[in-house]
Amino acid sequence: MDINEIRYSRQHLFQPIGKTGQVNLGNSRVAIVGMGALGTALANHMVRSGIGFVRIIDRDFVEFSNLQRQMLYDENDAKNSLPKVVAAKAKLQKINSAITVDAHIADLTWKNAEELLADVDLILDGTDNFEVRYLINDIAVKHHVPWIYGGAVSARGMTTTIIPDKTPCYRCLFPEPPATGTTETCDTIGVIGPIIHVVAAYQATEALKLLLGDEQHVDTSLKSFDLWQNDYSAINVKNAKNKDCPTCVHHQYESLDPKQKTERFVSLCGRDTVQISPAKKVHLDLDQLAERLQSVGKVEQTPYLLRFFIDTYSFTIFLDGRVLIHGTGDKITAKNLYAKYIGS
Amino acid sequence: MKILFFATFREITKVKVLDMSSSDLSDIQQLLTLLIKRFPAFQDELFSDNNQLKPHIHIFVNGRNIIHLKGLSTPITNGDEIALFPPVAGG
Repeated sequence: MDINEIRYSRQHLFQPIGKTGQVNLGNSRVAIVGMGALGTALANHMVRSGIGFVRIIDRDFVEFSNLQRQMLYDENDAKNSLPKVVAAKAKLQKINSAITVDAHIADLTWKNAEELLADVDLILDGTDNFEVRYLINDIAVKHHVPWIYGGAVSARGMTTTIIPDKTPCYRCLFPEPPATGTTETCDTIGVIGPIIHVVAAYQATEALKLLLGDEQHVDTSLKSFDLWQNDYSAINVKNAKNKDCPTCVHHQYESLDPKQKTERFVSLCGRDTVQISPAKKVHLDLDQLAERLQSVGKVEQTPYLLRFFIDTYSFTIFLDGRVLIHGTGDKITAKNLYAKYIGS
Repeated sequence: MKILFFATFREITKVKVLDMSSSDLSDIQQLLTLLIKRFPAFQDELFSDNNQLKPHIHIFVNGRNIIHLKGLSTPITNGDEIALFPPVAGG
């Protein structure tokens, strides 16, 4: 018997999928933004269930504090500071070698979002901040691609499905992003593993329904969970559409066309880290940079990134020119350090 | 009317849902004033120093964000379902 016949036999038996649905899943394309806790759980479901093309996008590398909940990573990945998408792709291809896993070490911004998200059937949210969710929403509405929001922190989670032209968009539900520093993050109040899987399970199930075209069963309510408080709630948001929504009514895509295009320094909330994006598209010569930095501090190099330690700070430098400066949340300090060791 | 509390708001109310009569309440502002009287911690939780509703606080009346209705002047009546929550960020 064909290996895929055996592999997907339980989905063939599951009436809403069946053999025809399985073929449809095999022809489907999904992008997952963020390969942290939610992203790895989502990728696991997408790849195991036989989605033919799975694009994974993440800017970060694996750390030991990830292992408690980010299911595709292990101690070796953390020891080697592997970029998350590199580690994830290796695991995902072991799980299902027939799937195309298209891995991108990248920070999703207005510069690359259309290139990475406009050519898929569905976008899954595994991100950890609101800025990027408004960007995903802009792409989704502009290119008529459904997306599924998911968030988890502490033992609480939230998810909803956005289908452009059919449901309210994310900006209809939440018109303004919260001010910096006002939201709870996994790095400030913690998170437990199980809430990740609850949120990701809902997202993944809705994803299968959407990809199979079973819109009758798609749940578009805003769902909220608190596992520790034994709570599940669903708010009906069918009437939440803003008749004057800048995004889905007036088609003004603020995140895709930001007024401030030059903000290259971003403080990563709760992480004592500042991220610096390159001003122009570059491909760094890490060997050359390592040679230069070795004279002033300790340097560790992998094929994907360079780590540089100086005083109480450390730098993570990626091939695409992106730099994370750890040990400060202050942009000015980071700018000074960047100018001092990397140059502008 | 039913008031649903989520996330940190529950730590203040100690309950998930409150049933409140609307006889004296005609809009969201009045409801919040009453809530603050009952749970003083709501003042700092909901409002900034200049008495504006903090931007990460979302109040939905029957599934619609009050920002798209009449803000704090959004009318409420018996039978309405009102939800107070911040969206969840992490992932």
